[in-house]
Amino acid sequence: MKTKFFIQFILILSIISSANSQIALNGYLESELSTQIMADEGINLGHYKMRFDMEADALENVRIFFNAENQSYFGQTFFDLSKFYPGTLDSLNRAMLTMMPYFMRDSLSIMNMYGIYNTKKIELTLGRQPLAFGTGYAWNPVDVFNHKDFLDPSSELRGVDAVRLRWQILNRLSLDGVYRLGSIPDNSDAFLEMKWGIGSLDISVLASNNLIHSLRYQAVSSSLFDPSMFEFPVLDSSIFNNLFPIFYYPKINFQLVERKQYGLTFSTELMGMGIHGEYGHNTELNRIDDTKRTYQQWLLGLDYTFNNGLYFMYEWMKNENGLSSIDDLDIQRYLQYMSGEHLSLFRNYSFINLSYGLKIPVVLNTFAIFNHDDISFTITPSAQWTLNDYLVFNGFVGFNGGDAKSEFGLFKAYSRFQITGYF
Amino acid sequence: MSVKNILFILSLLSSFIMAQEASEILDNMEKAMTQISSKGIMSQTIKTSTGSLRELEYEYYSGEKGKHTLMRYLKPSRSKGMAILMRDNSSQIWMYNQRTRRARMLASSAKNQNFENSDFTYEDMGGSDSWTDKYDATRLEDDKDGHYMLELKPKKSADVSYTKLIMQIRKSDNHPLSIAYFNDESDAFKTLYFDDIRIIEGVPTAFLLTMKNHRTGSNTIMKIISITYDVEFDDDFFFENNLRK
Repeated sequence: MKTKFFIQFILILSIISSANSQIALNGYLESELSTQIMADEGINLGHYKMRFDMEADALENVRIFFNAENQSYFGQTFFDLSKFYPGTLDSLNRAMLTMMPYFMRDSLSIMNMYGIYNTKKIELTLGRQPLAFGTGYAWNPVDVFNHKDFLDPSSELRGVDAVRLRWQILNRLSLDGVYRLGSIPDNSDAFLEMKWGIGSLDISVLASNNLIHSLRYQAVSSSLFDPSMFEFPVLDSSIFNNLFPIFYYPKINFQLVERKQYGLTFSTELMGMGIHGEYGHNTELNRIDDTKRTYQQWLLGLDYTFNNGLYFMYEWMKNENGLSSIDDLDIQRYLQYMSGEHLSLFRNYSFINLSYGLKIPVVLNTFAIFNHDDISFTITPSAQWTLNDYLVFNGFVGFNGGDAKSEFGLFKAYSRFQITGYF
Repeated sequence: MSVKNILFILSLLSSFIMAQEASEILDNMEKAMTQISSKGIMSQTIKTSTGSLRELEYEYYSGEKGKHTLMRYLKPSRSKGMAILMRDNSSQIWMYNQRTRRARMLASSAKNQNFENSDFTYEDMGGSDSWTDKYDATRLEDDKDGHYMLELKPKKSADVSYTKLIMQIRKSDNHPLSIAYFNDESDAFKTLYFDDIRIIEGVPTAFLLTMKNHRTGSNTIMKIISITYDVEFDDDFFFENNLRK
């Protein structure tokens, strides 16, 4: 039904577009199949995606952008999270995770819908808009608005409902402010960045205040027999416990945590080598119990293009908010990470990317991610074949290493094949 | 003074005059090719060694005698809105992605990279008046059609990717007809041909540029769809901020 509505909607807009040359319409259709191989089983899953982009000149200096996506899944769409948990689970916690399955449901979403008003010095953006801050590729500690998938850092993310004002003070000095609307002003996020450049050095300082709906998990016990319901003391409840055994169920709620961050980013070059970095100093205040904690996050990256066209990038990331050992992992932390609450599950990571464009329209790419805390890794060679400007094939095969209970060692291998047709 | 010494001095003098003449020809060619500023629309057709074709179209802005270049993609649809800024003869390259609305600065080592997998590199695309700064020119014997032939070798401190260039220059208007690019090998690995030269606003302008890669058999054709010269740009036009607009 949603797909039918989406197609009708696009047809209507196409007609409007063909009648008005000020409106540009384009997008793509994508089909993807992936396979993941674990120690004792394999999973096939995939999706069909239709992405639709529209942009139009509304007034002089005003431009409007709209992107929507319709995504349908096939193969496995129901996931028992206990099978994807990297650490060790006792039988109770395994049962709890099994009771909280993850579903991939067909979806129709407005990814972005925003307008930009531009003058010589001011840029005002209003609506659901793409926001991306930081100089890092795989991770962005200073980007408080997005949660990147570091296995696919360039994937498109849903926009953020916000107001953004950018003031170009001088040619290479700008002030950028973002206000994300919450239900009440106290639940809204604010972000400020001052950026300047001298020669090949670009540097920025940032400050943000954002509210996290922090997930809390507990296994709650219950029984049909509750001794407190009796007005007289029950001397021996075991007989009732045998008749009405205790059962457990998972309980999820959210606590409001306010995070303040002060950060710094830079990018420069030395002898042809690009150098970039990010730093974030975070203070989190739990609004429920008033507890406070601080942690820091760093990223340092290098990149270089060799004379033969081979591109190399390395990034190192340290997240003090991550775990230093797999033994510290629990269900709450795992669910928080899966819901995008944390930058990474562990503390120390490296990312390596090698890319080489062949003379035929094929780009060979390999990336590798190393988790230095649980000593696991993934290496993913891939190829992108641009058949023409309208059809692109992508494929990769990933090989993982590490202990079977580690973050990457949990999966032995995975593959993904994708066909994208642009219109 | 012996005859031997006279011959030696004459030969030195002659090579000095030849070098001076070569640099004058190169200088005249740069003046003919490089206007203070220009803007236009260009298309690029990339034919790969397997025969497949890719077509790009972009707006092109050039300022300060080609020192700064800004390009905004119009086609294909998947690249529309992307923009590239090359400042200071490609020593600073910025790429803007409209989907994320983020501009990233590439390290200068990226200028050796092929532009959009074409046969042009960023270095080829950015700036044409830097030859006299980066290369020493030597005049070779004119070709059979009477065109100037220059050999350019990089100056010691120059940060360039090629070991040698050979230029064929038309005498009538000092416009180049071809540039052969060399690496370490004795044969040129690619050659740029200038065709369909028309006079636009008093400036000889090649409407068709073909870069042929002799190693791979691929070629890239650039066509000018429209062009105008002596455009006045705002002071902040060739800066990262303008990529977003």
